[in-house]
Amino acid sequence: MSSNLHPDGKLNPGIQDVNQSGNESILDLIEQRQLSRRGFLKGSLGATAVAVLGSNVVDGMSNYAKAAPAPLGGIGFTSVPANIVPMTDQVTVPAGYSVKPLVLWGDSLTADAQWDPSGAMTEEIQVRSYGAHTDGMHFFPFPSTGADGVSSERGLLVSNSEYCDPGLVCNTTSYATDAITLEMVRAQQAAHGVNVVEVQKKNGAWQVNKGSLLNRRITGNTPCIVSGPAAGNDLLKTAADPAGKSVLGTLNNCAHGYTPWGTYLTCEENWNGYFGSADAAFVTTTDENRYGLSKGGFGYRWHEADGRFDLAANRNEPNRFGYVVEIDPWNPAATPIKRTALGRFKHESAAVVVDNKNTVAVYMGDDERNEYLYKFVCANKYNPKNRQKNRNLLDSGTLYVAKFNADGSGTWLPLVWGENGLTAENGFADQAAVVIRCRQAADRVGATMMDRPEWIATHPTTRECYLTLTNNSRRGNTPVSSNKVDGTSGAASANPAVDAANPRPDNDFGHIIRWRDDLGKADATTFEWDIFVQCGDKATTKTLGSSYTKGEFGGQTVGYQGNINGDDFGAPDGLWFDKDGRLWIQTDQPGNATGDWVNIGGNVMMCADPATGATKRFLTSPKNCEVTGVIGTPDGKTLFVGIQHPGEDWVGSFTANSTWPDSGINGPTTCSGLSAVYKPRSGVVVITKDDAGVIGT
Amino acid sequence: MNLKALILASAAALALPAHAGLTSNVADIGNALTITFEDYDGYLTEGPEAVAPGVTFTGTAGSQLGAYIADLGDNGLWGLGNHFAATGVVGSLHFTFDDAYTSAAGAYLNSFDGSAMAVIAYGENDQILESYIVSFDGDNSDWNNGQFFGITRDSADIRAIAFMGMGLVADDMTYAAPVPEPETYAMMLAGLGLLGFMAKRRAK
Repeated sequence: MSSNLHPDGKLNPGIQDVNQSGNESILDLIEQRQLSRRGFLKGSLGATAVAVLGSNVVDGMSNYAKAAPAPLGGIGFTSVPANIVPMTDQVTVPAGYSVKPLVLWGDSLTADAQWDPSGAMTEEIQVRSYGAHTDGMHFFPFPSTGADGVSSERGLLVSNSEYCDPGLVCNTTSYATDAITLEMVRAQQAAHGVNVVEVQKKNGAWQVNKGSLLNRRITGNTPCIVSGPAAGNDLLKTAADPAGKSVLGTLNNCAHGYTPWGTYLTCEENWNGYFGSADAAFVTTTDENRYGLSKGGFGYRWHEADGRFDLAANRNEPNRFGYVVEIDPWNPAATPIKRTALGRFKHESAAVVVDNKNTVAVYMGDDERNEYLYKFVCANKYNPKNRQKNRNLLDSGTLYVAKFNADGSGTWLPLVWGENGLTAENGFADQAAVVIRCRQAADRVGATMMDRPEWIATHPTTRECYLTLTNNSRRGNTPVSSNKVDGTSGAASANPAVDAANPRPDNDFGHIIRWRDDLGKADATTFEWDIFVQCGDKATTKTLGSSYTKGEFGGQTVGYQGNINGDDFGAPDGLWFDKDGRLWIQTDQPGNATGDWVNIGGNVMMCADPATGATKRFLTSPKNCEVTGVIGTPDGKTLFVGIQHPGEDWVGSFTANSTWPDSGINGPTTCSGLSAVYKPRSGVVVITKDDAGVIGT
Repeated sequence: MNLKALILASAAALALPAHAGLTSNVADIGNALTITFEDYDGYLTEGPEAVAPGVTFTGTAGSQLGAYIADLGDNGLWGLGNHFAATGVVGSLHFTFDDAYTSAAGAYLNSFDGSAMAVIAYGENDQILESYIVSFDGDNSDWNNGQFFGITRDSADIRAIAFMGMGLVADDMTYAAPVPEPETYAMMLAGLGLLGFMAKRRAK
């Protein structure tokens, strides 16, 4: 059941009643894509020149942005084998590396006693314990007297708890048919949100500082401020909040971002799944369909006990989710702020880039099949010397959505009220309407439908951006259709034809696309792009289903075999550049090494050279989990990696598929001394190199 | 308040008047005014910056007004939403009383790993009136812990107060309400006289 709570391209029962009638053609994009990868690199000064001259010098010489160079220090480890059947139920890293559990769902973040997983989680315990289903995270180092002014041995690990498994939380194997109580819902809501955890390396070992006053949980019921164009708009007003400026909680926080002024950005993704209605007469509107809201929800059933999530009773409550939320991790009393100027959709990540002119851009993916890539450019400049001046940078600026042209160029289309058809006649009364109905606005201006835009990573020196496109079973399917210009298509309902940026029908294994904004400017309205890799299984014999349109697309179609230069992987999701320019890729597929994944095995974390595409498998994961969330310390010698929902899709017994991590296979945990392993638990592991070197070398 | 402070040494440059000298008690600052630095938020500046009416800040490279987090090693942490002033790795925070003098000034201080800190009072021509080397021994688990250190004089002759150290943090900078310097008194009197003269002329 639990997999239904996390749409990953699999059929989701929660969206069965949406209108799937999109039928427009996007044949305008079906033309030969001329720009090869070689041409893409030639368009820049090239990797070597960038590495030698440094970014500032190159900026003054080139009319182009820069391609990422080879990583400093290279990629030196030996790949680990794929975790195929019979799978190991552990995290495996290369020889010469060590991995240990650091913090896990239910671990106490205070001096209070550890939760006993043999029973149900309660709200009272959960609000002081690490949240469920860990996801995107960032390490905020403490200031230090060290060489770089920051510590690599003490910091705040700030992480998302994307969602939860209601059965594990409520200690029931029959959640779908149980009577739902408010206590059950409150415990689940407390398992969501964000964790702020002080971690420190003491005597050579990383640990959680449980007594830290900075430790904090932000949950599905933590008061949040609404700022930006939508604050106070009628569509955000509810009986409980007639001003429309204060929302309880943040939900389904998937990936993330961070700002140079020291704040954390958490992204609300599949928030629609928590809503439903017990009202037999309830029917969704086209606007609600566009965001995947439905009478049944994803199976959480919160609306049965918490009226806030009953769509019929609180029609505007869903309009208060789907935002990027800014959190100051250094101030436990700071109220999270929902930054509506960045648009409302199923936010996956928020990658912040500051260019040489201190212009700030935030790149964001909308994680659903056929959705879009966005960019927000702040109206005011980043002030590196005065944090106060940056506090509300994310409230004013221009929101764009990407159009990928077949010739390798791209355009950022502004989502500005009054422009490009975003007018009252078309249902957009003001800029608030544009950001609240952001998907419909993007439909209107003609953005390119993508194959599930997820994480975005930006190179540490060149600012080249990489985006994971996890998969799209609807790509190339028939009858061909696209998101309607009037915004009335249901979520993930169209069958877009292949195009230059999404060239594979039935994109089962996904791909990674990259782009460089013109002149390296964060506020550029044009960019150039190419596809970094099309993932796949070189050994697969899978053939395209009869409902899909067969055929090559401009030489870009590589079939299910993909074109990986190295170890195979698929369904790329998490993405991060380390300080030396290694590209770390995490995957989100079923994780059970069956079906399409018999050769690739369970989920993995790969390490890639962005210049050559050479890719190695660095980490394999326990059974039925997702590898999501990765961040290193400033010195590159410690890596934190998230393991989410080990043992997912269990039936009958919580541990039917996995006993990780309390089996102790990767080392002691807070519960590994108990008489039995009661539940698999999501959590963060810490990886170090045995010779104390930089991870990846 | 943690009273583990250890006054290592004192080196008064001048003969100390009665009741004057180093104090670790903020209550010794009479007629006190306090600067909390809460109006700042991560402002990296060497100044000059008017941090309060009649008080100008200058600092060495890396100084910060409204610092929001500091790791003091074995002396704990500062922050938790509380804003303060901080040096860079090594440096000084200098507060000058514009056209005025105070009789006492100090601040709540701490520094990295309990390293030595200097508290210095300056006079009319930037000469050192008094200076003290102090330290504070906190714990690794401390939050916003520290010790008030200040200098009191039996007359208002302090033109500036400075705090120096390694990773030094300072909060609640407290000083006796300054009194204008003699020249300023004279100018004020002259100004009042001019006003009176003009008023008299208008009355005619």
